[in-house]
Amino acid sequence: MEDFQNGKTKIQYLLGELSLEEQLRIDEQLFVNDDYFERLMATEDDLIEDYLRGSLSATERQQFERNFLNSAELRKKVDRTKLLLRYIDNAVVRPRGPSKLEVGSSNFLTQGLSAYQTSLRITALFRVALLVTLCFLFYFLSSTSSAASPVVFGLFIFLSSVYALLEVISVRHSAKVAQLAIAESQSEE
Amino acid sequence: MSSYLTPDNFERFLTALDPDRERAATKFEQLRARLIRFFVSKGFASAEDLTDDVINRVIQKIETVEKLGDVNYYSYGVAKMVLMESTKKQPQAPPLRAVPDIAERESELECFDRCLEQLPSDEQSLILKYYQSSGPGKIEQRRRLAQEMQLSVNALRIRALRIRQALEKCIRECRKQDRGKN
Repeated sequence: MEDFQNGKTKIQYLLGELSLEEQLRIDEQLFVNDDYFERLMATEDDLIEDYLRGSLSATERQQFERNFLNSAELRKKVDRTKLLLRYIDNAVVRPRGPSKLEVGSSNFLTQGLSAYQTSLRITALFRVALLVTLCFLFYFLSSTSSAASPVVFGLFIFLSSVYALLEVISVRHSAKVAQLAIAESQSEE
Repeated sequence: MSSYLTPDNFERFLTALDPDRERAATKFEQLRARLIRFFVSKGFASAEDLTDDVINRVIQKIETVEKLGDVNYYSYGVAKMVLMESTKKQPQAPPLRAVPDIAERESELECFDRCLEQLPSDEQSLILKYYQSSGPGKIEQRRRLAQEMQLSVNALRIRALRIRQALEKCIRECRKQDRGKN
């Protein structure tokens, strides 16, 4: 691992703070050693970032501006880094987790599903209650009148039971489909 | 003197850097970057002009360079010579220039968006986490990130540098395309 002192020397080199002897030593490394050049570039990136984040001392800042901002190429690099930091500061949280809006829409969907299931259940209950009332009415009529035969009454009861059963299955199925649709839309988010 | 700067000599210069054209272009960019840092670290305002001067002189001596086989080292020697000449000629400590404002560069931000999306998800996550860390806790945050990724801090810095270089290349191309459309 590169030691702290070595990293500091690179910063001093870039800021023009080193003695001529030290400069010459780094100059040569810069041209003949690809790894050294790459590490110097990484140090330069850190230095630019520190400048833009206001982490440099007053003297370092002055030297940075004197050296870096007078080179068109390095000025462009400072500018691009500024843009990168601005972009990352704004966007860094966005892809990692749901935003307030996404959380809000997710809650809205969950609450909507619950309300939908409740309304389905109430409607089904109401229909079954209506059917039971009709059965009682039909029974009452058949017991007071000889017109309705026990076979017709039995058939009516059978069909009513089938209807009630289908209603229950339909409610459960609709609720399940809605639940799956919501789960899918949440996973896409 | 300028008669040496022919397309043929430039071609030979690129071949001396690397016989593969694409790698030669990368090495040329790296040589320019090295030369610019060399002059910037000495406080020269016209680092780009001096860099071009060095490259021109190296191309003029292309036969010597081909014999020597090490373009970088030869360029370093020429750079030292140019430095000595320029120290006599031009004063240092030039005036300060402010960083241009980027308020009007929304389209560049869009390119950022597009290019970031194109990165593999692990690189995307690394670059975002790397630059997310700031302030006094930055060193500690990056150390933790390096541990998390089972890398040394320096390896992490180099990885971030390479991802950033790829990102910037993509943004440059995206901007070029955008300008082409307008």
